[in-house]
Amino acid sequence: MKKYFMLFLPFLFLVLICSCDKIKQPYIKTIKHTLDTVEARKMLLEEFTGDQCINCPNGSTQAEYLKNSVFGNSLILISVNAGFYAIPNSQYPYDFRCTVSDTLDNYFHGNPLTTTLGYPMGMVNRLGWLQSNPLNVCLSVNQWRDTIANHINDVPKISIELYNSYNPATRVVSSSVECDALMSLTSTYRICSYLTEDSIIKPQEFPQGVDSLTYVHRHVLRGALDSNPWGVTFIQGNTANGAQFTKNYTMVLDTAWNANHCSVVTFLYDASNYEIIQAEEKGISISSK
Amino acid sequence: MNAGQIHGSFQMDAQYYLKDSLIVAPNVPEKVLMNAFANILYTNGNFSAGLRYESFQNVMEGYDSRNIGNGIPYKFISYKSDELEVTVGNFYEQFGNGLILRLYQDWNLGIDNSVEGVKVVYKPIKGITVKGLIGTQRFFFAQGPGIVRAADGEFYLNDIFKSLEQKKTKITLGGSVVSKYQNNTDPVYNLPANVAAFAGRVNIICGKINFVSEYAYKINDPSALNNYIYKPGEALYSSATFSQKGLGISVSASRIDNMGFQSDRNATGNVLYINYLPSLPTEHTYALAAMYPYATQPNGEMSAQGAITYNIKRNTPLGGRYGTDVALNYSRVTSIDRVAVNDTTPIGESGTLGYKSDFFKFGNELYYDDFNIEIDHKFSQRFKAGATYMYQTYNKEIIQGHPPTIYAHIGVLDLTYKLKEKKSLQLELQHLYTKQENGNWVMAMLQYTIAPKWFFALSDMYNYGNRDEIMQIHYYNASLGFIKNTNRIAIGYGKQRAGVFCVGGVCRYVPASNGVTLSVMSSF
Repeated sequence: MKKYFMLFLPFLFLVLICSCDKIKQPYIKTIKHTLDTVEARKMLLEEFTGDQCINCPNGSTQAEYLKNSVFGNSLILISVNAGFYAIPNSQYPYDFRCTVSDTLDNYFHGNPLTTTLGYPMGMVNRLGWLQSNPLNVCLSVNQWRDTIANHINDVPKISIELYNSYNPATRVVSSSVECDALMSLTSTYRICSYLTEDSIIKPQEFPQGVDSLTYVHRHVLRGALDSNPWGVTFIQGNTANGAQFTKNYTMVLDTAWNANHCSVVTFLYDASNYEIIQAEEKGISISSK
Repeated sequence: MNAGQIHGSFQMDAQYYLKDSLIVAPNVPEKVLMNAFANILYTNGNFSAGLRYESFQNVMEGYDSRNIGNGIPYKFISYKSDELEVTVGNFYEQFGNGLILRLYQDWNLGIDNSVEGVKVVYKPIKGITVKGLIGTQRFFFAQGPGIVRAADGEFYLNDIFKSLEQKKTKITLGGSVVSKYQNNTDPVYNLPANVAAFAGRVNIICGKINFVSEYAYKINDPSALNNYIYKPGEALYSSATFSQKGLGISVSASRIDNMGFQSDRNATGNVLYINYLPSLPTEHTYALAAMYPYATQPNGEMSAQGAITYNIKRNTPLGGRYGTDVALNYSRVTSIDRVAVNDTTPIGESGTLGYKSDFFKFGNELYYDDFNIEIDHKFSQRFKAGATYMYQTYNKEIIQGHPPTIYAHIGVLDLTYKLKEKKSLQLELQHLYTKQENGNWVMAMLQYTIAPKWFFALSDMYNYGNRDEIMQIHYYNASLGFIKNTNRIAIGYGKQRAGVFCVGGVCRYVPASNGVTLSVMSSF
């Protein structure tokens, strides 16, 4: 009897050995939009960062990875340099901050003099905002991927097309926005256009006190095209499916900014909860990314 | 059947928190926090049943804040005959050294990864033990999302084979398999719902030599812990000891590569661990020596340790009248070798194999090393003394996630003087020298004991070497305790510096605090 019972052991091992799934490449699922690319929803990741934040390069690496390897052009990145770790000093004299980054940081990430969340943190389409706690929109690095993936196939309410032009002589950027309502709308939506500059080479602090003097800062927020961090009301009241809306912006580029690396990021958000319902990004000159 | 027996134990730890912005003590709105448990065990012949009631009102600072409220997270019923033991409910278990399964509880660490389900232990013949279990792991006052299935076989060859019965060499072999199941709902990655790990082990005892070795392998297990890489995990632990009267020698080594094994792939913190990865460095008990404790790195480490203990005989020039004990220990932990899987993929990138690694190659980064020598000498019937010197390198960036690397020299003098038969006075003097972080520390502790009932202690830990003069803080403490039979009550008052508390390479962060502590323990 015992000998028969001994068969139980190899059977148990066999069952358990079979209880494993060896995954072969590709490890990443192909994330396909169910809609035409133009009408698909694009996601915006706004990352709070700073040149003296030792963990922020890791956050930026993760953001780049999500864009380059997972979500492609469906993900738009903005680096919001602000707060304690972005205050210039003798070792890090360059000031990445701007009025818009300070405003966003104060409202969504916490006033550095009172409440501050850690770094790096980011907002994905500003999802999760609560009137009682605006800081609830901030997500840690390991929450970005799933939040983006869970919303990227949401049916878009609006499409955005951008037409940018740039005059090198006057350094004036012109941006025209055309939006189509893709369904009937009832809320109030505001429009924002931000300017970002990519690939700025400046020092960055790393763990163990190591500095990189030639760190490439990506997608740095430079300001709003209309100087207003919160934009303006764009769509209001009952709006029919197919309704069209346009808006034009102009902005003079700072002489220190590299036009070839500058882009316009335009987005619409629900005025009642700050959720960004659609976003688009386009370089300002032919050679820009 | 008689009425059976009931045994139990109780522990309550509470603290009244005072505000102290200088040491950055967290603000505690409740002012008083308490952790408590009571274990009740009923046995009657082959039958046993038990439960543990736990209460967190609210959970004390430094413990996982997901411990909320009261409950009975541990309860079981068990029946044991000569050959078969069956347990339903919650249970703990360990296979071998724990490389692929160790279910245990440590109240001071705030860890309990028990499984709730069914466990069967069968001993069909003398020398063979087979274990099987299935269930879900405790997750605070709920259960984790993964199902754990496990089996283990242990074979004591000297009992199984008659020819080996009288042999001096004793050999035990063991093998185990653990598999976890968690539904794959991840929107991005193709994740394995079933992840299995395998381990084989051997224990050979030959006279004064004891040799233990275990190898474990885990198939692809992308998780938050390993940044969702698909590389299989491996671990090897080996240890050899030699002991004879007056001399003990031990050497051990381990290699851990991507072997964190949790029943929830998205878990954060010390929760839902299925396995345990042994830590080789010495676990120091003196406060300054334990200031920079090592925490096992489940994503990868190479570790080695050697120790010699020697007793210098009494009535010799060095041994004196009562003999002298000398203990020498060195341990070193480094990174493992890691190279990119190809030219375009950074090491450790999510959604890839992660990296390639040469099994026997040490990495370039030093995580921790510790050299220590301890000498204990009894000068007379009343007076004994111990002196310890330690040198530690502590890579804080790896172990705690932020710089700097600390190089510390630590000295300890431990003097005990017996005043009368039951009364003794103990004086501990400690000093830590380092140029990094908060600089030098000094500590003195005086304890008066009236055995076996009373003890009184005063201590002060002073960060006199802090470069910021305001932070040159005295962390003073006063405590008294009363012990009678199986009851122990201790009350303390003072400041606690922020730090890390570790047991066996598993750690929890302890924030700074200032206040009154109360601890009550009892068993029956």
